[in-house]
Amino acid sequence: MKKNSVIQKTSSIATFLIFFAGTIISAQTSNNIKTILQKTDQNRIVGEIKTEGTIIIKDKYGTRTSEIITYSKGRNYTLIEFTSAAERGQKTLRINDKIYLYYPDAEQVVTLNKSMFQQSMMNSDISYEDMAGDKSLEELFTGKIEDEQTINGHKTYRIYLSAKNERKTTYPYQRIWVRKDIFTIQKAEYFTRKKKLRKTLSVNDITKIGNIYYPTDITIIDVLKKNSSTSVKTKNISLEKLQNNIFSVEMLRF
Amino acid sequence: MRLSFIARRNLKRHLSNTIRNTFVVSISAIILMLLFGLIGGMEKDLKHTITYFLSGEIRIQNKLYAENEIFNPSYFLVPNIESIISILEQDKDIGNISLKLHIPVAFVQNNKFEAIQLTGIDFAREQRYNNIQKYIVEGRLPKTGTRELLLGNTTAKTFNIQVGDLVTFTGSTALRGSNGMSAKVVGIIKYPASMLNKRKAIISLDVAQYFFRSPNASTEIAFRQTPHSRVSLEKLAKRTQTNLTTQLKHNSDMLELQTWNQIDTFVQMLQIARVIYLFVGFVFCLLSSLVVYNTIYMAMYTRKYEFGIMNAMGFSNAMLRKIIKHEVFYTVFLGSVLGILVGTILVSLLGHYGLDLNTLEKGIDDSTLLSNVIYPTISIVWITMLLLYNIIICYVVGILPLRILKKETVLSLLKSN
Repeated sequence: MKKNSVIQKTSSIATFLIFFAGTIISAQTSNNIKTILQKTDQNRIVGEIKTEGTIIIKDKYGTRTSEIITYSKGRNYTLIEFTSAAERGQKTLRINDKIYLYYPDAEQVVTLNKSMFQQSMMNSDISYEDMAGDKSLEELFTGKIEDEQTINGHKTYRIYLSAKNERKTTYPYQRIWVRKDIFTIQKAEYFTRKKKLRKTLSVNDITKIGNIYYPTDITIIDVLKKNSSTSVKTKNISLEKLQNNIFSVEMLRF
Repeated sequence: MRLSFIARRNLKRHLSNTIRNTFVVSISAIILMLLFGLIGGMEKDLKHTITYFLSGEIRIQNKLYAENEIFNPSYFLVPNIESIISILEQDKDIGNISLKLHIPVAFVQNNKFEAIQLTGIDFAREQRYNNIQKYIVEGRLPKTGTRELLLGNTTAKTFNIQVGDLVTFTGSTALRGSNGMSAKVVGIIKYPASMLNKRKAIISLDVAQYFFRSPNASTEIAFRQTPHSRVSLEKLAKRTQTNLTTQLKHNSDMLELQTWNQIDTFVQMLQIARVIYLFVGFVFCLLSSLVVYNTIYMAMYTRKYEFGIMNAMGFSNAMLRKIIKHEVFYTVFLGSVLGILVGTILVSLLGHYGLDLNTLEKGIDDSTLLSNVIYPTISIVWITMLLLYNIIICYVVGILPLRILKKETVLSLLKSN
């Protein structure tokens, strides 16, 4: 009898200790995730930035290139101006969740409603919906570190993200590989609500500008399109104060 | 006394029956004539629509376009159209030429996007090709080089766009980028076939080429033979292909020439149309045969007593059947000939004035390539076939009631008075 009660006490204490340890580990892990996502957001969402670059679109018909200048301010303002001959003067403006298209030969600025966001921009692998993204990962997702992997010689956390509210995100399920040293996304997979893989992103090169790390060579693949990929290569980056009025519909014509 | 003589005498004696039976048979023949006349008119109309408004009698297109047609491959163009036209114009068997650049675009209407097919046309050539001016119901033709549009009348109604309105549209370009443009609606066009007016807009070819970033290119070049040409279409197509191969410095191997009846889409369309029309014709033939059977059956039923008397007088059943067969043959032959004659006159009249399907328009899907007014037509071959068909079928059907006599005895026939 005495022996049994000792065993019972020991097992209860052990159970309690295991449970307590588990709680602490879990709390630490969730703190880790939160920290990782916060640091990743710091690199993703930049103050004011102007970049010049090239979009290279490959599909079954061949390869074509467009030159662009991009102006971004925080999460909610982006202006892309096409400077290559075929699209010269065309502009795409994002203000919060609205997208406006300007064509030099059109009398009116075309406003895209949300139902059109799924369409691809310039027949590339990037959709207008992707443009309307760039929200905080930490605010929108809960994450779980799956394991650690080495991608292109860089050690990364492989993190699985689930949206807190499916309707607020373009891709409610994501898998991202975040570099352990500088907390930038090295690779990403984007899934639909039905958890079907829709797009992949690879970061091929990163440049440090001031305190942030900016991806200067990325490749996006839309898995629904056969033999298709879009690369965005950035050549000039400047963190400069942008004019307030460039992110307005009226200024698109100038 | 010859049985045929007795048959003719019987026909005269039962004149009202004879007239009624002949009338029914002739109605059957008239209906067949009208139906097949309409079928012939529809086929002719379809061919006219194809050769005047779609592919022409011979079409030049990029080979890859046809292979990828289900993907709407507007990128696969016919390049160097100026060089090609100068080669075509040297051939005396080639008549008017039409150039078309088809671009799928989206009209921006109240922040909604509506899919439209925009077609760039050389208006001067198109006027010679199919007298496009004739189909303008409101406004005028756009001027070359200006951002002016013609809208199909159904398109204008659907989107509530009027002459004078400005429309903005976006679309892909030949370089697989995107572009947008605004243009003023200056006219409304109504082609005979309703499908040609649905979700259609027409603009000057040079403006379309500018929008699509495709200078000196088009989706297709269509042309017809000169009226006096004695060469077959297939030979002309082959000769033209050879000329293009030898005279064009570049890109001749990417071109494909087809006559209109070689183009899969149209061949299939015609085949399907023909099958449907013939099926409908067959159903009508069956119905008219039933009517003939019923009428002759009733006529024989009422003459049972007469057959009984003839039996009693010494006519065997076999002789009676022969007499009746003669009667049926004369009735059917006369009815068929009369019916075919009247039918031919009616088809000729309708072929001259046309059959207006406008009243049925609301019930007809506007995705048809048929014109609203059809001109029935029928060939001598079909007339002969229908005459023989009517005679044979009505005769076969007309002698079926002879089974009445098999079951009856002389006594039962006499009692049926």
